[in-house]
Amino acid sequence: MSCKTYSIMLHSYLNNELNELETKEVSKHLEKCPDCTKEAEEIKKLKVLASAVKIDMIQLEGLKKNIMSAIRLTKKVRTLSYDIKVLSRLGTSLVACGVLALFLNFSALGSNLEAHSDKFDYRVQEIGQKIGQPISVINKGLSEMSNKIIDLNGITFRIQQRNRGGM
Amino acid sequence: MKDEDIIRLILKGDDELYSELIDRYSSKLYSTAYSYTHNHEEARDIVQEIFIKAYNGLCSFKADAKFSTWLYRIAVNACIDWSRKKKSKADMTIWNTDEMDILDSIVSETAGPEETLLKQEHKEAVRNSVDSLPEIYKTVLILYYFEELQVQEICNILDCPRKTIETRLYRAKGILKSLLKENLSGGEYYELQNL
Repeated sequence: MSCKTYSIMLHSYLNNELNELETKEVSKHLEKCPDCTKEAEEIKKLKVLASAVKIDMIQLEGLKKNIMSAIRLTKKVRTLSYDIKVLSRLGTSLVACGVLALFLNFSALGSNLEAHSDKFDYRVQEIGQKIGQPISVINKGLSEMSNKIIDLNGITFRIQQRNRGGM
Repeated sequence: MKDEDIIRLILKGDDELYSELIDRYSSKLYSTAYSYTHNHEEARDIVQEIFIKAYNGLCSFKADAKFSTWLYRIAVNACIDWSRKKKSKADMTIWNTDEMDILDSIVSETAGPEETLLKQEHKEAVRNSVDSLPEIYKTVLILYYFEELQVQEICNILDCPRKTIETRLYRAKGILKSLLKENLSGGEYYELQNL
């Protein structure tokens, strides 16, 4: 491993975070490398410096209270929005029920209409019958008349033949 | 009671137990937020935002991960968001003079006036230098040096392999060193080196 590789491992090494083998290797390297030893010393110094620079006074008074109030408010809003959701669902259900009821009413109306249409059909049939009856009588008369014409034609033909034969 | 047990109870409806989690983590998160903002008010706001976000996302928390890691992930994202917003506003007022007075008074209780002044300069230099670091280096540096987290914890929070975090730390330290040299005169830097 190169010197830089060992240098990169120093932050973990100084926190005792390397495995046994890595720790041994780094320790062995530090014994013979003044640059890496200096680097390790600098990290230690910087740690001391950082702890000295860390904030000297933490102003947390009232912070917990503020957070908890915000959380309670969030919960209230959530509960309220849940209630609104439930209400809106209830409203939707009611509307659905209304639509269903309306639909059922329409179905009943439909069956009434059907009943009315049956009556109407019957009337139409009656009217049809009333119109059809005289026409069938006329038809009957016409067919009788045509039969008679045919018969009459036959008689006329026989008379003509007789007359030809008699001549 | 373990964090995970508390979360289970909160999810069952015992919201008041969340204050226990606030007690456990608010100082650490405040410290992280302050490392980014250098302003107590803004740090408070960020911590508040982190806890509210965490509460709202508790349902999505998976018990196989550590709660602290999950919370730190939210915290780091909130801090990075804050930095981006701040940059976009191009607000260069980093130091709050009131906060400086508070720090001064605290330090003056433990040290003589000359020493305090020197320390204050060091603090400013270090904070300014950390602040100038690119985001990826700044985050690992704050988590490792200021929050004293383990490298593995940082890996979990940032969801990166160990080698990546180690390399970032190595580079961050190098950049910080040169920035400190720029921000401090030779004698002061020497003094800082011998802390």
